[in-house]
Amino acid sequence: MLKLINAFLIFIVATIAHWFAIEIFAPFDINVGVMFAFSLVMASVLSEGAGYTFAFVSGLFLDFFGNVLFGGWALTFTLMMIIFYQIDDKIDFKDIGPQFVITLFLNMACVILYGLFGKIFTGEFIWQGFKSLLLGSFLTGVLLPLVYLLVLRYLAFAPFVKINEKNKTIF
Amino acid sequence: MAERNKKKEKNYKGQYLKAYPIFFIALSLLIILLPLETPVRSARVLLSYIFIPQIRAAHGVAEYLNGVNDTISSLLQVADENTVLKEEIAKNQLQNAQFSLLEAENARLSQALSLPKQRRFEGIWAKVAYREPSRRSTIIVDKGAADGVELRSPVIALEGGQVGLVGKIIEVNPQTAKILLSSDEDFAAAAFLEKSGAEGLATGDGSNGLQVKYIPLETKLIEGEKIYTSASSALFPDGILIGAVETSGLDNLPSSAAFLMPKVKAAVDPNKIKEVLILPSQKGNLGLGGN
Repeated sequence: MLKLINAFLIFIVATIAHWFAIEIFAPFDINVGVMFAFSLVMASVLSEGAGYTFAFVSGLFLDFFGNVLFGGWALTFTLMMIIFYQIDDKIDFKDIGPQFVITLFLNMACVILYGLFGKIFTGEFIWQGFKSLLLGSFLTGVLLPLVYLLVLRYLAFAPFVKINEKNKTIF
Repeated sequence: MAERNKKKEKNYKGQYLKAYPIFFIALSLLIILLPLETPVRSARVLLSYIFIPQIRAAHGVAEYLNGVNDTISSLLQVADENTVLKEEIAKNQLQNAQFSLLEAENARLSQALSLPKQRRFEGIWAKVAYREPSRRSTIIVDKGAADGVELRSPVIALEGGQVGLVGKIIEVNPQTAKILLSSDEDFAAAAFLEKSGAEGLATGDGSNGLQVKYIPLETKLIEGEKIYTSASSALFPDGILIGAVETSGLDNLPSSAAFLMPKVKAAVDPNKIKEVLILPSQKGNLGLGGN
């Protein structure tokens, strides 16, 4: 139960960070993938099942506060997690370099994929603009190492957290 | 046997893990495809209420950071100003030290040359607080009886680095005092002309200026000649600059006139007064209606 509470608390922090990013970057038409960054970090530290769940819930959260395609972000995040888990076996996600590169490309893929789902399910491509695609992805890439550090720090002190050294998962 | 069990377990785990993405993809597709608009709208309203604290927290953090930015910039500005002010203080301290030396030297030389001592005015500095619209020739200052202001005290001010007469106190309240300006027709002060030494009575002309009455006809008036308060004045200390002769008044002088009445430009422009020095009243030689 406490493990679930930890994940929930991180999710709450992620939502605050998400709205904070909206406050800062929305006037410039830039969409920073804060929820996506948190999903990637949680996917890297949680077991696969929990990682998928966190990503799905984060996507659903974005869908609830969006107006275009309900379920679009949930589907996109889930698909991105499949790709992430495929890559995660081959690279060391603990380093800043891979963290930045993977997040940059996955976030770009996210933006495009979500647009494509819009085309498939609503008949109209949901285009968030080049600023969100390039600058937003770049900022998400920059943000992720920080989120990773904070989450690990929190989990290091959080109650009832056990890190499985063998397969690098927590919980 | 054990290896076979391990392989079985691994396969089972792999299949089990594959079920997660399939489950969530299927769920997402269901959410997208099903007509969930009405429940989603209701859920959105509910979630909005639930997430209001987070939205507020995020907004608060953003606001705070904006405030921090302003505070830092103002602090940097203050730090710059502080540096400049410190330099100015150091300069002023140096100047003060030099002035003290000069003052001492001046006193020594004055004594050696038997020159009269320069006057030092001491009194209460006050700021103009109010000007009566109905009577422009009076002003109210922000010091009163509580500060030691007394009725009929002379009032002077600085303009262009020179001390000039402003008027006299005609009303004292605990926190304020009213000054009758020298330009008022009811104002009067015994005065003398700088060059001829002729004595007269300086009175206000009611329009920012003054005139000097009772100047003997034979007096030679020079334009720009300065007029000071006379030692015979009951209210004012002698030697305070009242103004300078503007016109001799000879042009409009009637043939039957027994005295000259030159127009005087006030040393202190009544409209520009911001701060005044209220001198102690001359109680010793005070007389009723004195001038």
